[in-house]
Amino acid sequence: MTPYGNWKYFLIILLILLPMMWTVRRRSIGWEWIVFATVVMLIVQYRTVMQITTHAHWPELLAVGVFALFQWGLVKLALGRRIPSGALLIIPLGLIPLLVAKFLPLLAPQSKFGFTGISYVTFRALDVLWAVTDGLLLEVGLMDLLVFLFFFPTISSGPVDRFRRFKAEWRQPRDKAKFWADFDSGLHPVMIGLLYKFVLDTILERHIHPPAQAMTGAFGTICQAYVYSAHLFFDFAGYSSFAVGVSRWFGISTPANFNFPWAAQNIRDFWNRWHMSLSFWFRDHVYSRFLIAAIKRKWFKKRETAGNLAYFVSFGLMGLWHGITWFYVLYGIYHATLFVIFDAFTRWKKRRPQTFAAPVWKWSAHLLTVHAVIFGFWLFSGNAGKTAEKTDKVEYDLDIDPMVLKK
Amino acid sequence: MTGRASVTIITSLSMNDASTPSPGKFRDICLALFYAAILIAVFLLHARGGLEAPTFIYQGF
Repeated sequence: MTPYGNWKYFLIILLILLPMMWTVRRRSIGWEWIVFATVVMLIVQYRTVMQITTHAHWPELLAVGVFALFQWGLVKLALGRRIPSGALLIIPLGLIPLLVAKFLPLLAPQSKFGFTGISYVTFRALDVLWAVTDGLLLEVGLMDLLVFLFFFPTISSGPVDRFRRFKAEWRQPRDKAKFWADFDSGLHPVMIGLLYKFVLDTILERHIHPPAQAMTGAFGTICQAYVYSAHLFFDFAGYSSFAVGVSRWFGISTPANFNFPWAAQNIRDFWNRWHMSLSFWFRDHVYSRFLIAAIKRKWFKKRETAGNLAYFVSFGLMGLWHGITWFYVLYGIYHATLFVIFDAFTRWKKRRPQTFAAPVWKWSAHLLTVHAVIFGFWLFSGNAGKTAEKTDKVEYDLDIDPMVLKK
Repeated sequence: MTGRASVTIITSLSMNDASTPSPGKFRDICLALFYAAILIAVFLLHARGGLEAPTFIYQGF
């Protein structure tokens, strides 16, 4: 069952919330409800049987279990400091299940390993492993780890929470006042999720996408790029809003993923507003670590070179993470290039403080950023390749199934 | 608080209170109307086919 995809999913959430509402009238409710809800939702979501090889068929739930055991083993190894090189070995090991999930369908097209959301759960697992290898975590409870990895509202597409934040919160008991305050603050994001996903995105898909798809030529391509960007935003911001709201109902303050991204003044500002939990994860765990290592070990003469390369490493990996396809990689390289250009422009601008003081520059920067981002989404959609292939009529897929693309 | 709006509007409408609503109460009523509009739009758009979301792009990465 697709999370937040139909009324049955919301009904199950309601059926779990109702006894919580009943119980909290008389006494505080604790973490047991989060565990209960997560187990129920895992069973509901991962009932599918997948074909790992021609002869081996596993329920998705078993893959979840194997993944959990594997990551738990790595955490224990890291805690016991049995691997002297720490992060250098532990982090690549933590990536193995994700790499298998991404590469297996390429190597054996009939095979599949993994489960919906394995990428996001891997990010959470790596966050724990980084914290352990950095010495920030001296102990990790099995229950803490499992609930953090598989907390159901965020399992399929994030937002990517942080273990130390989550751990401090999820075991807190909630009395009646706290429960209803949480319910209250969770309702608004859920309503926004309904507006984005079930109203605006539905209107886009039914009434705006078909005429845009029928358009040809350069103008058609531009229109389709706008429609795709709007679809991507309402799809993902809607999903994220549901995840934040439902998390709140279970007492967890899952970080927000979007903060008015279309109001961004530059590309850096955009990534501080769009898919924030992921971009901050890459900033903290890839960009910063690469930059610090490059400066400490003097890999490059200039610090700027290290910074620019760190952009390409971070966004290149972020692109690859979406799938092993050329257009995701191109999307990553494109955004890294935008960052490099923006940094160079910022340095150049500093020497001319009066030149860009007029409000018109602010609006120009905003428009330029929005259109640079929309062009990036057009690359991300994979439609750039189709434009090159087709000569007479261009057809676009608004809803590209990522699982199909990976094949 | 935002979510309490749905409760506030029901109680406000049933109270027969002619006094000017406080800013907080007014905000809650506006929010409740906003939520009601969303729910009506969802109902109108999905009444025939059942509540099914358009394809999720980001689920599956």
